Amino acid sequence: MQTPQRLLGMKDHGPGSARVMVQAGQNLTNFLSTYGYLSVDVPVLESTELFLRKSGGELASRMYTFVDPGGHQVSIRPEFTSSIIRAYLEQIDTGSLSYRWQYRGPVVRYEPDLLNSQRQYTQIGAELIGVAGPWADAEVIALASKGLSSLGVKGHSLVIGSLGLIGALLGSFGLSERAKLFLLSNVPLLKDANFGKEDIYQRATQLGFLTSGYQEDMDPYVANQDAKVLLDKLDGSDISVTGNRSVGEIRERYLRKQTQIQDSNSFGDALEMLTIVANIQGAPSEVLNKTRKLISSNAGKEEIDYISQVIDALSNYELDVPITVDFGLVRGIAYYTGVVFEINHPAIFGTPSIVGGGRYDGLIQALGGEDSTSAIGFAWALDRVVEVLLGSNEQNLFKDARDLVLVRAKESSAYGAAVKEAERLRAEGKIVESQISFTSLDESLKYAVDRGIQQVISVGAKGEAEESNVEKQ
Amino acid sequence: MLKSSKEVLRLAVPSDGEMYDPTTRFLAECGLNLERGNSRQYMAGITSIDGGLALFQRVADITGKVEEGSVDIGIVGFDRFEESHVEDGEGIVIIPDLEYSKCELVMAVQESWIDVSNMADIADLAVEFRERGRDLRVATKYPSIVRRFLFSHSINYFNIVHSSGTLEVAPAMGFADIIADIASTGVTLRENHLKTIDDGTILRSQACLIGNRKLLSGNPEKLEATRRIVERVEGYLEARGFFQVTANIPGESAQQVATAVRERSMLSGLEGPTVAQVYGDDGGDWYAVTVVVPRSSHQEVLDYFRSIGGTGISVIQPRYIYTGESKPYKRLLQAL
Repeated sequence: MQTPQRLLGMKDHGPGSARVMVQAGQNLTNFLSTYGYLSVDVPVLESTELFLRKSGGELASRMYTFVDPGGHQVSIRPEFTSSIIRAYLEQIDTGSLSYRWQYRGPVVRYEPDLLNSQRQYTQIGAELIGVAGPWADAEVIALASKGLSSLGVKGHSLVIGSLGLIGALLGSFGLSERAKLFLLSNVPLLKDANFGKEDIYQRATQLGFLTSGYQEDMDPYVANQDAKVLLDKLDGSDISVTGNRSVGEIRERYLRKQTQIQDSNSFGDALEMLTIVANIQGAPSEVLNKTRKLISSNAGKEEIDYISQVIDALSNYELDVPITVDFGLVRGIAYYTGVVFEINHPAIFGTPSIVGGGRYDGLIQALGGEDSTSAIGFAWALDRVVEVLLGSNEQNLFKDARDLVLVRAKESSAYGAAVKEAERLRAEGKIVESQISFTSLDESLKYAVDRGIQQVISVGAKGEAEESNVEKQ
Repeated sequence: MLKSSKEVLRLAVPSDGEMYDPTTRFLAECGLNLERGNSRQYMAGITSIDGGLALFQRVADITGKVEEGSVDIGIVGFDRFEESHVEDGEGIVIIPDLEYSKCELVMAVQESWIDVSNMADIADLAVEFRERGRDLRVATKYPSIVRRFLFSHSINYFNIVHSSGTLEVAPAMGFADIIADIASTGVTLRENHLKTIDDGTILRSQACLIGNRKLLSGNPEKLEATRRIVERVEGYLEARGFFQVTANIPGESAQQVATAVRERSMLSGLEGPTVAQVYGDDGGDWYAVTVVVPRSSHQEVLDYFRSIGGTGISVIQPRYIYTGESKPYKRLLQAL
């Protein structure tokens, strides 16, 4: 019979990398605790609806979704934040001003391109719920960076963007939500000056944001007259003719479409503007000065001032990493509303970076909470952090410093005495492995060398213990 | 009747629906008759393939059987293959175009939805439905293909209503908003007051030959039997596009007749005309010319042969045509 294979995009961790994974994870959890972030845990499986509610649907195509035996449509979590906010809303305690929560666990995403990504990875993250403003943003960004430094990671860099600014600028064009989402999700392409814009124009035309020739040729007056006749005929029709839509709905959307076609100019303008802004990046003071001169709207200026306050607040944390402001940074998940940030490391190629986060003030309301609740969070991609650590050639990274001892029975009647001896040594703080099956002293010593065990103790039936030094062999 | 020889290759063929008759006919045309004892038997021998066994399977199951390896190769609609084959699975397409059971998988909505004409409208509608607290429901027999298609059009908010019955009535009965269904002519859609979406053709399908990569690459006997089937199918499909025309043409020499014939490039045939002397009673110089030409040039060839004095012209349909090597078999070896 054929051996079942590991699934594509899934990874096994052997004792070496798993040790680093567990220990690095524990250290990061402890690190967050020192800032008052309490551990919470949420289910691996949630209703699909939860993740769709505000992810802009972008995650929908990458979720592991199925109908459970009870007939519910469920998904394995592709991220934690939605679950955390759901949990927050379910157990909200009116007395509290703010929440500092942290979590750790696996998430899965069906990544189509497996070159630079896995389909399951472990996230450790923190959410600061109920506080707005630059000081909250600075705390969370600082945590993300300092946590890595606390593990001994060197060479990472911090990139900060602002969906607040992008949103304020897009807001002036009067675009539909769908058009705005489309533009946002395509910002990464705009940063590639060579092919980006053309490609987006083509996609936008396909998706109907830009006028195609066919629609231009249509005489709106004639079209409207034809439509009027048709719609009048339909008036009073039942479901068998118009399906689950009323004639009113059809009429309304038809007329809206006529006006939307004339609006496709503003879509083009928005795309032009976004191309310029998306390509602004560099040292914070430089970028902020440059952008301030470019932007005329008050809403835009306010956002730039805000980012500058976040950068100032951040300076108090004395981060030892280079900081870049990049207005072309939009994170994949559409629920972000304000500051967004990522941490990159040269040892890791491609996306996602090793840390990502941002402010998501709209999500709580989208999940049924109060309008005014603000929140910001981030997550470390633990697998990538471990990759960086393992790449920094520290063979003994997080290795347990305690002595390793192998306890063996000299004869089969001595197993009881050997177990007692092993327990005594463990109580002394040693790591003790018991030899369960009978082996000769030579075999035991050979095994000890292989496993890196320093000491072999042979125990007789009366409890007499005899130590053999492994080094001498 | 089953042959007594050792079973070498298992070929799944559709047992039901619209593909049963065309498939058995197609195989017979290829010289691969299925020798079924009676219509209740679900196995049959395959003429000219020693150890070949045909298994009649439900059309919807064939891709799965090939993927899991309980059959080696199979004939199935490309639509069914696309729907059921798994990422990095063992199923591969050996010949994608068997030229029958052609159809399209299309998106359709109520004719009365005059505001909806392309996929952009569907995307917009999905968002609008969601804002009203409803989900856009899509009825289809092809949930995987349709899901991928919608995602590729940035449509993320929808519900698939999996239905195997008559889909055309779903919108009128109210259990779906739009449908994605097979249309070979479009008549059924129109009769049910549905219209297709401009850029909503999801897939063009026809019968194809598929196989299990692992089983074929790991067993020379299976591969050899597959090669024979592939060659038969290829030869038959190739031959359908051509006629073989023979005519008696007067001339001074074989060379002169050949030159006259070659003046028309379409008459060069696959390699060039074959010219042979005819030994008739009247002692005149007659030559028999044989060319293989595309079906479409039937009349043109006839007219030209007459214009250079040709007579006794016969046109026959070759049963199989082969070139130096089998292209689909070469492609199969590359895929393995």
